[in-house]
Amino acid sequence: MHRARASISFLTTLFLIGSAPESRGDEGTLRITGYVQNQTGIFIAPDKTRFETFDGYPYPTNHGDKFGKLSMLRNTFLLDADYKPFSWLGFKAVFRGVFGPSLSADAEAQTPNVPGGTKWPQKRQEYVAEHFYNRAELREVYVDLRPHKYLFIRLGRQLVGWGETGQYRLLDVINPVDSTWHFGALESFEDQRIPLFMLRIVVDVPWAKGGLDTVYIPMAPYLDRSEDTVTVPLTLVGAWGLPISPRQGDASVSSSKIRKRIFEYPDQRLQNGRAGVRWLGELGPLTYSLVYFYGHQLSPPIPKYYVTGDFSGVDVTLDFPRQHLFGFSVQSVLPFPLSTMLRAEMLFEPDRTYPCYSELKMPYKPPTPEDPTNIAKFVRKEKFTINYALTVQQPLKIRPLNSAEVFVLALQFYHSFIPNLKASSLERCASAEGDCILEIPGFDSTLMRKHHFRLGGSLQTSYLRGIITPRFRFAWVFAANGFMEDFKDGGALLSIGVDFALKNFKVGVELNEFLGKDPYFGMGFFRDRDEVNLKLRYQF
Amino acid sequence: MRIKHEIWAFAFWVFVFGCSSSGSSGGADGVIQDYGNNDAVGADQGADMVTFRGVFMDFQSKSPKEGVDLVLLNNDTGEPFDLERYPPFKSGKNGKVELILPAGIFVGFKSSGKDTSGFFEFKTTYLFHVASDEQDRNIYGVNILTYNAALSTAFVKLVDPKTLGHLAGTVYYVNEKGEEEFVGCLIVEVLDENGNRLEEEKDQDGRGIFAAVRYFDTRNDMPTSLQVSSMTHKYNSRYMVANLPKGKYTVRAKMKDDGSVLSQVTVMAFPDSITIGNMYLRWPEFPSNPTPERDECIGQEPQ
Repeated sequence: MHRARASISFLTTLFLIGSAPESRGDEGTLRITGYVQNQTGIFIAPDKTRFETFDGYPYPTNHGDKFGKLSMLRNTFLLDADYKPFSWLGFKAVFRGVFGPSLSADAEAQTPNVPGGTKWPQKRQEYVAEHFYNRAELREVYVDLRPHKYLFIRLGRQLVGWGETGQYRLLDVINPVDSTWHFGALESFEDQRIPLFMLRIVVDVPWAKGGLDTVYIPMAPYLDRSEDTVTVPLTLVGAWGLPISPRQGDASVSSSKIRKRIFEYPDQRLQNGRAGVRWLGELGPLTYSLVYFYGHQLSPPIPKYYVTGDFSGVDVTLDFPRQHLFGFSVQSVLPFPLSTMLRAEMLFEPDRTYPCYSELKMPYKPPTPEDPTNIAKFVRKEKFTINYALTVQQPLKIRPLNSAEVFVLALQFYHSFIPNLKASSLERCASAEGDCILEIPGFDSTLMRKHHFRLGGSLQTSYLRGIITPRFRFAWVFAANGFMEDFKDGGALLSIGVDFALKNFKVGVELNEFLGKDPYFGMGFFRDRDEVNLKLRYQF
Repeated sequence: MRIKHEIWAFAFWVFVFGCSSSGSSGGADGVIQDYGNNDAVGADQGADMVTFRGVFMDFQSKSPKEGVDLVLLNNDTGEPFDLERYPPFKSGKNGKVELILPAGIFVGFKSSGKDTSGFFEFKTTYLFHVASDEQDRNIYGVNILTYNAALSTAFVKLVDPKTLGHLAGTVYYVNEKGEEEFVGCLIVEVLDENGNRLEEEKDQDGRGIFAAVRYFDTRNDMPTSLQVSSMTHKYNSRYMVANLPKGKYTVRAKMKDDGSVLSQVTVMAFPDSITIGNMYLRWPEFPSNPTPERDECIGQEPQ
């Protein structure tokens, strides 16, 4: 009896934190749900692209010129089918088709085979539309087996979320992300995660008040496309991607110099398999998890080779190094203040690979009389990195504003820390002094510092039994120099919106503002992406 | 115990000598960089002496580099300039180079090797026509990465690195404010010691194997084929001449339109190395930048 209760409690916990294999549909019935949706956004930021002339060259000092242009126009059709012929057997398939036009804002996309910069805008726009805005895919297809009450097996293309820190991901280490059509924090993670073919086995261990969750991603040929096994680099798109790089050192590899970007995606072979294990358990009032995962660094791609030949410009190859990850989470609901939920999540990356200041390269293969190709190797560094996030969620009763429903306030603090970082500066990096590692490859302006702080939060309530749901969200990225130093130089995302739901229809409108003093650091990369966004959905 | 004491004493003196490079009497490390008095190496009691001040810099990144091997050269012969008095030395902190030199002469520099960080390795680079009394002179060295990349993009063939060398430089217009501007619509020609103009020789694939003049692509600051860039541009007036046997050459910058020679420089080429020969069109001799106001002279704007 005690064991049975523990097991039920454990499964309930799994369900509550949203990462469990869910048991959907009644036995013997086929359930099909889905929606059609249109999402349209218009840029409203007045920023203009500006240049400075240095040594005879114009270099961008700001990015913009998007006012009044479409930020997105995405039409989605999603079908979700569940079939459970027996209590021990279930099937699931999710189809998603998206289609939309090419956007003029994608002229800035730094696509793999179009030389860097802004020339040939149409080619860039077409590439983005073809690869990211128009896709039909069977996202999830898997079979569920429950051969024993303590054993659950899922095989197929699926999503697994071990983390609960949203945009910061932390323990959400398994599925890569595609946030090419909109700013990641403004879209649901369910939609952005890229499913992978994997075998998942969950074993309940009732006597230990926990369970073991194991995942194996075989990376076998034909199961997944190589490029879908990593997070889509944001240089590949323009509307919601990174702008072209500003003036950097004369010997740096800025986007205008690049002829081709060659991504060495992880090969589909068994040696590239990924695997992980999580223990999820209860300890008194606490729910905790311990995680280990061995996979690839999903983002960003790390520059590997710098190649020149008898062609104009340079080719850059990038890859996704292997990586070990360890972490844990602790979660509890406090009795006071009422229903306060606290969660801490921590991730250790003992061998995280960072790209370096782009001038730092080493000769690898010089040109010879027989072969004019010259290859240099970009310097990269592995650094032990610690990340953690603290989340507090608090329901609030604010009667003057809403006497019927509660407000839900969520706050999240994130801190990333590289203990053995030898801090440097751009001037010192020109002489390779210190650890000249970057946050974003290709942007020497994003020199990594020892600490990285972010603060985020949301406030949400609903009226008329959920018909009207207003919400406010914010994120603050602290300035380059730390937690409080140069506070005003930080960047922010502010989002205010309201959803209207009536029967099967849902309409949402949102105003999203991005603030950032430096256009090539933190939230400043998106300071020209302020937008109004409208979402229409019919659910069935 | 005594041995240990002696080892410490030895280590102390090694440390002292190792650190106090300035003012020492020659040697290999960081020697000739801060001659605060005329007792230093290079001082010549019988001639007027001046202090030369310069900075060793990476040619492409324009960033100073410390610890690179330098040799002072005779400007006319390209041979070391009095090795006894001016032994090989290394660039100092922030690339600093200070020498006490005879007044009124020109010298050259040869640079090579790695900087102190170990990340930047320099191809043997020669620079000539440096006045001994200059106070803020950049001594350029070509990073081996830049060298390798340039030779691969220039559509030239490295026929025999052991016997052939290369020239490179920039044609600048120095305006009234002293600012350096690029000059467009110039072509470069190279003459041997006898004044004969050298014509490029190509292999069967069209790659330059002798006296190959190349201009730089305005979009990425790399030398490129003549099909892409057949002259200098206002966004980039760098040039290179690849595959020259050891010898003295004159490089001329001419207006493409009328063939008038605007500037020239005489430099020496050495095997498996690069020699830098910049040319300067200075105000008031040139009241304005002579680049014709035509699109083809501007070049393709870097994007």
